[in-house]
Amino acid sequence: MNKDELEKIKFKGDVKPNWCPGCGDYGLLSATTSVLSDLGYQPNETVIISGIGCSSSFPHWTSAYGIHMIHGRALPAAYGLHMVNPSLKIIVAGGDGDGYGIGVGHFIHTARRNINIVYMVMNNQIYGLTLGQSSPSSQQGHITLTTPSGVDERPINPISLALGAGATFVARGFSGDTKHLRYLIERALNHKGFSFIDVLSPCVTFNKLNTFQWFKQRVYKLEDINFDKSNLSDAFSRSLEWGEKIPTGIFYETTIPTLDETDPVARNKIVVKEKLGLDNIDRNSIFDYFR
Amino acid sequence: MVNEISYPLISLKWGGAAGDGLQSTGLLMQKYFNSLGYSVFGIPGTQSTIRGGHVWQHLQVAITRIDHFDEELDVLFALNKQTLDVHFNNVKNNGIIITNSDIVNTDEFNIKIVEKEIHLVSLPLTTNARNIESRSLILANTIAMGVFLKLFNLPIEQYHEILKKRFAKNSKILEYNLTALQIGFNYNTEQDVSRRLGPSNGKLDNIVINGNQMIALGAAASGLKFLAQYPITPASSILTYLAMNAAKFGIIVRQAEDELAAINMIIGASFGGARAMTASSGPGISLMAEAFGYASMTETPIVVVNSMRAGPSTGIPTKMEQADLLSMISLSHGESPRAIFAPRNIEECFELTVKAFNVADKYQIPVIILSDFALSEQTKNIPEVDLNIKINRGKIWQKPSSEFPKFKRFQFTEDGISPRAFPPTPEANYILVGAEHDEESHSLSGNRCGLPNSWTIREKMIEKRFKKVKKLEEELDGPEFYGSNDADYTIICWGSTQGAVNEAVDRLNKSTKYSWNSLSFSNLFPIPIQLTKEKLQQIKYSIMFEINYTNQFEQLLYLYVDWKVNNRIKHLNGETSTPNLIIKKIFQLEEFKNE
Ligand SMILES: Cc1ncc(C[n+]2csc(CCOP(=O)(O)OP(=O)(O)O)c2C)c(N)n1
Ligand code: SF4
Repeated sequence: MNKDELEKIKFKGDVKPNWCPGCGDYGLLSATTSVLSDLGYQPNETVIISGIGCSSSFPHWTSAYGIHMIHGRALPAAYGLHMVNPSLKIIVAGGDGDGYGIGVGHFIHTARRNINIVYMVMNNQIYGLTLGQSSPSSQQGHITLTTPSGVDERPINPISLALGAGATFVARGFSGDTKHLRYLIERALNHKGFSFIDVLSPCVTFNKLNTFQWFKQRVYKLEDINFDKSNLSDAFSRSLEWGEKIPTGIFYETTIPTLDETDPVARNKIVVKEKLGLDNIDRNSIFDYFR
Repeated sequence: MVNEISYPLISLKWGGAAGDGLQSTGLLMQKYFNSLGYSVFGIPGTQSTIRGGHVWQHLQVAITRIDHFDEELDVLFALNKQTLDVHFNNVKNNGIIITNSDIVNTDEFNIKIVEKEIHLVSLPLTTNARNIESRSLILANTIAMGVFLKLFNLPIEQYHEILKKRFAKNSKILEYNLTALQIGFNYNTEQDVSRRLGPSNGKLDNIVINGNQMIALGAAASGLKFLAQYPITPASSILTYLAMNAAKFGIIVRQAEDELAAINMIIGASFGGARAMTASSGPGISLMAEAFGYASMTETPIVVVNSMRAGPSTGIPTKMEQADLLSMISLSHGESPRAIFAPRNIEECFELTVKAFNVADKYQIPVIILSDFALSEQTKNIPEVDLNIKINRGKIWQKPSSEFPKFKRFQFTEDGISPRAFPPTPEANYILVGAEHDEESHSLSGNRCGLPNSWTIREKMIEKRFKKVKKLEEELDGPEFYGSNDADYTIICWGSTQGAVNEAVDRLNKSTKYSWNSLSFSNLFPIPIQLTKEKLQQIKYSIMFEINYTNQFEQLLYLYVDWKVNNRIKHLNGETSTPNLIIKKIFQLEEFKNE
């Protein structure tokens, strides 16, 4: 391979994914590594963070730094890392159980804080790794291991949730359309603030309802219909659409200050590059308070 | 002729409703005596109540150093009737009660007041406070303070200075307080004795600080760069003190959405190379269990402060207990190495926090600082601490070296400790993972699970992680005797009860025909076996004192050192232990029934 070719695959990891053949997650993986390479990011300056689930093995298949956290806690780890070193590019990748179930609280709070990271959820509407139980995004009526008479809870709406929580970039992709996915990932990486992409990523093994075919018949792109992504109410109304037609694309994008720009310390320095301890500080200014 | 009483120590208590400003007055008072060179020691008695209820602030002022408090009172400030109901019996003969005649009727105590020759100063604090400023009842405290200064012939000017500093930003409030102080000071208390505090000989520039602030300062001096915390009593003041000083100290201080988030945030920060800490108490610590194991498994250094409160569940949030020890040793599933330090006093809150950070980095383990309500919220005056401390960040890989030509995050080494690298260090990219992993941090839980090669790595990795703590044992401090090594009786304790225990030892040595000492532990886990054995062997008869029902530290000594105590006492009502209480408990033991 020549230098250019090597450059193109520099985010591809040495370890081969152990996902089932045909799993939707491959689509997001290849789109992500290729966009990162194309945009000139460096693996040692990029950190990919995940929780637990099939989808959460994502970082292992790349050449970047990574943290494979515990179930549902990828976002807090990303937050801590980002705040101490905002110069790193951080991408969080996980599943719907991980992000909309056990970790949903962190999803809301991370969005609200507008930290400058990208969060991508491989939403297969099922628990893959634990072999097929229902998920918070499972479709009503879906018969799964844990819902023998069909899911009787309403599914979470990740797009409305993200909008309501204050995410500043909200999009949906489909892993059957990697070209469009690449577009969304590029836009998310370029967005300053919390960028969220719900990725429809079929589980070919355990979800026989929401299949590639099922989605292909339904998805359309907001980019194709003259949709104004700067309008929050439009974004909310559009987020409610699900059924015969499923919108993909960017629902909403806005720019406001990010947390590393407002935090009284992070806005002035990258703390991991600072000297340790209090030697440089006037002792009196510390101890006078105690007298 | 007026009699004169000279006090080597004054034990006093303010009691009132929450919101009456007792704690802030208590602190000002401590700063006042500190500025005069006396030793001060303060313990708050709080409830989970914001307004109303009954709270108090206990204070000891002494001409020599103190590390304990006594229930018996020289002075009681009763801002409400309940204070008298609860604390009247603790007032010594000849003691003083200063009370608010507007709301406290002392009639039912009159006979006892006469019997005990208590000097009662009853004045309309509320009316006086209202006359100065209609809304601020908190001024009642300052008026009472004025009375107190006069009663003990203490210099009022010095208190002006304290008030001026406290209210430097608000001249109106300062003025109110100065007026209030003068009203109290001018009040004619008609004493027939003249009371004085003995001469002070301490330093005039000590600092008045509490346990949590010392932990926070220790962390800052150690190079803490990231604190994430969720508020909880009695750990909150670590968060608030550091939040107040974040910009000055260069520490990112963030309030997390919960403790699950807090501990996972600091793991992320530590992965990035920052020294990182969180603090909480029982309920929050329980939530952290899973991530704590992750930190141990991934050899990610973090420091977790557990300021223990009485459990289980919500327990008694504002009272102390030492009942989390065993759960800290086994916090999280599986077997995950960690270290636990329990400071025995305010000074050690600083020293052991510094040690915690160095141990965490050097051995790449999570470290717990085990404080408790009584220590975290206790205030004392001490000399300024030396902020210039030794920082050891352990093995950090920056580029290929002869020892580590190629970076492998979990490389097997002699001492079990591998190199650590932070992004964006080139050539060191790796994925941190909580699954069992090989030297390069590749997961063994997927396609390699169950293959013979993985069996070997699994066993070697367990060995590696525990090798580190074996090595750590070498730099741990063993227990310390207080008093002569060959005493007849030894009281064993750990953590914050040391001050009261040592004072009990002194009193027992004076009041009994036996000799007494204490043996106190601060480096709790892993237990420094050799050093512990050496000390335990010298004991003739041991009495364990710990604040839990299930003899947790005793269990540890038995398990790790194969050693049994002779006897034990405990105190489980939640209140901070006093020397006299310890003595009383000892004399209730069968062995001492006839003493
Ligand atoms: C605290 C905790 N509870 C439960 C599990 C078991 N578990 C592992 S993955 C998973 C669900 C995964 O579903 P999802 O996040 O949608 O990922 P997928 O496998 O479908 O990609 C569960 C429940 C766990 N690892 N940790
Ligand atoms: S079980 Fe489903 S989600 Fe998991 S790898 Fe297979 S196809 Fe993908």
